[in-house]
Amino acid sequence: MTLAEPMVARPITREPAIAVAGLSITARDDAGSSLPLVKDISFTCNAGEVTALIGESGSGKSLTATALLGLLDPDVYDVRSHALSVAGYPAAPHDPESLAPIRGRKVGYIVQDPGAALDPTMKVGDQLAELFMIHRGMSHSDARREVIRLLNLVRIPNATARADDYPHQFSGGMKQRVIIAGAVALSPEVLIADEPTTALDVTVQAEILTLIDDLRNEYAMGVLLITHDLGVVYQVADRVLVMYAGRIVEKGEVEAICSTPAHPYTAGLLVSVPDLSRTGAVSAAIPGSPPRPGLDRGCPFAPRCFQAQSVCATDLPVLQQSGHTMAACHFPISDGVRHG
Amino acid sequence: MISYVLRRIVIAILTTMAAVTATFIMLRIAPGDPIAVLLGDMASDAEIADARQAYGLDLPIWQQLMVYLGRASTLDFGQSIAQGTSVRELVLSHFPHTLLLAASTMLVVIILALPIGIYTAVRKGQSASHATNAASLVALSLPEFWTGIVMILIFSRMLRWLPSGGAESGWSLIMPTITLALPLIAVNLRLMSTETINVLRAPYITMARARGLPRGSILRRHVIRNALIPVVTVGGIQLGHLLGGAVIVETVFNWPGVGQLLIRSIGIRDYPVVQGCLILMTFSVIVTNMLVDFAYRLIDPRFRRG
Repeated sequence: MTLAEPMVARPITREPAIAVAGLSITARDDAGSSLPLVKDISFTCNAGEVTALIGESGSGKSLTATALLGLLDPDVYDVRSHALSVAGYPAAPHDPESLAPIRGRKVGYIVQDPGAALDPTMKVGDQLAELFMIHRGMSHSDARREVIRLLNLVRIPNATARADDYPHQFSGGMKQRVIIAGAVALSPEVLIADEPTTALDVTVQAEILTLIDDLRNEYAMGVLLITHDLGVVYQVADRVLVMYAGRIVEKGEVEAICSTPAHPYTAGLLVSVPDLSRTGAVSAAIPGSPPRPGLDRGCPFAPRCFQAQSVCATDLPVLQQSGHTMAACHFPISDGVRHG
Repeated sequence: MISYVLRRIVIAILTTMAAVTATFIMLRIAPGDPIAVLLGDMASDAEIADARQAYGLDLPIWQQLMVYLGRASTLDFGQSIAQGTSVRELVLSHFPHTLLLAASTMLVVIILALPIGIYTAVRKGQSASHATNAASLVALSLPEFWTGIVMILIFSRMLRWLPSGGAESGWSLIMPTITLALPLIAVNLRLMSTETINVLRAPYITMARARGLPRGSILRRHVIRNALIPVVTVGGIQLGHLLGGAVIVETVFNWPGVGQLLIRSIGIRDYPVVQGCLILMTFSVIVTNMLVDFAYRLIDPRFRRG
């Protein structure tokens, strides 16, 4: 299997799974006013790696993911970027539909709520078979064979019989497996998973994550994993992007981000994770709440930052190397020191 | 499935009986006397009393009802007071015309409303969809008697293209069909359009797009089927009403259907015929509703129980 390929070779020999430069997403309302939600973000996701995109609700994570598939409604969202490529395929600026040819074939997508993500009137087997019939021009019987293989791959018990069931006959975890099966059906190079485990039971969460990680290995996919769950990040991520108020405030390898975060926001996120080994201990929350979109002056995190100074309120910090990570902070936390 | 069908049929029969009872009592309570209409002003009291006895109208209402229900269960709905012929044959002789008009109307509605509804949903916000919405609002606001009369004036009196009434040739079907279909097209078009817009926003459609399915296949395979579910419900109710006879349109165009028979019979207080028409109307509504429920279960698997 592809595992035989040396891991180190991938980032050098293959195109990055996702390369984004200067992506901005602005929402327009009927009154004509516009609201910047994602502001000039740049990042790459390496092939064969899991890149976690973390941040609080409303930080722009899901919008970014949806924009990478060109699925944002152009009537509502204005998407601009200097350069954007997914699986080596460059998107035309301002034209979301230009990404249509790679959807399904080169990039797979998993959503947060599997409940509504399958057509309620069609057998799940037929919904998956569509992919092979339309993209690969297979006959129905050939496609069905592929579907059974897929359902076995995502570890759905009794796959042959389950293919003829309707979505409402599946549990949430099983539905998510079907959706994952659809996402990896055509062996894409990139998988975008938008909070794939948030709507599921805790016991099912670990199974789904393991499944995604195994599939990543098997297909050598680059995975962009959007989550607000740091436990998930520890478990599967290679690299981490921390988003706050529509900007990336810190990025780096998972070990560096988790052990020596440079941005006070990242440090705050880390200490707010409940520590089950210390019974009775209440985890520290970051005081305040994320800023409302629109206001844009200085560091967006400054009002909630324990070490903010006057410059933070006026000047926007840019991402720069700071210790083992890149952080957008005027006063990055120095090596090894963890503040609470 | 078989036990479900049987259960639905039993419920349908019980509902029909309840409707028969209700209309029977209402008719007897309503003012007017069929014997007075039948015999005219010159009849003597003795003649009136004899006629009452002959038609069973001298008994208390509940006894009349029992006799009626007993006979109705053997499909004997009595004789027309005015014409003396069997009610069953009288109603059934008018029913094919009503059936024809209902079928042609629904056909026109389906052929026009569904595709245009889908089109306006896909072209949401564009001028074509605004124009269609405006036109459907106008069609919805036009009363049937007005559309009918205006069409007669234009196409029969002025242009002399179409017969103004009757059912002598296929041409006679055109104007009643259009008159009945116009408001129904408006309703169904808007419903289909709204439902299509809703389904297009559903997460499973986003997922289908994320899997790279082309727009056309998403529309054909996922959107239309889901958007049809509420349209089938409403269309079924409309068909039920059409099968019961379109009273106004049949009168305007002198179309010899059940609706026209009903209006004529009410005018002369021909109770047995009125009752017969009402039973047919009730029965049509109940049967179409039942068929709609079956259709529902075909379209939407969530309605199929275990």
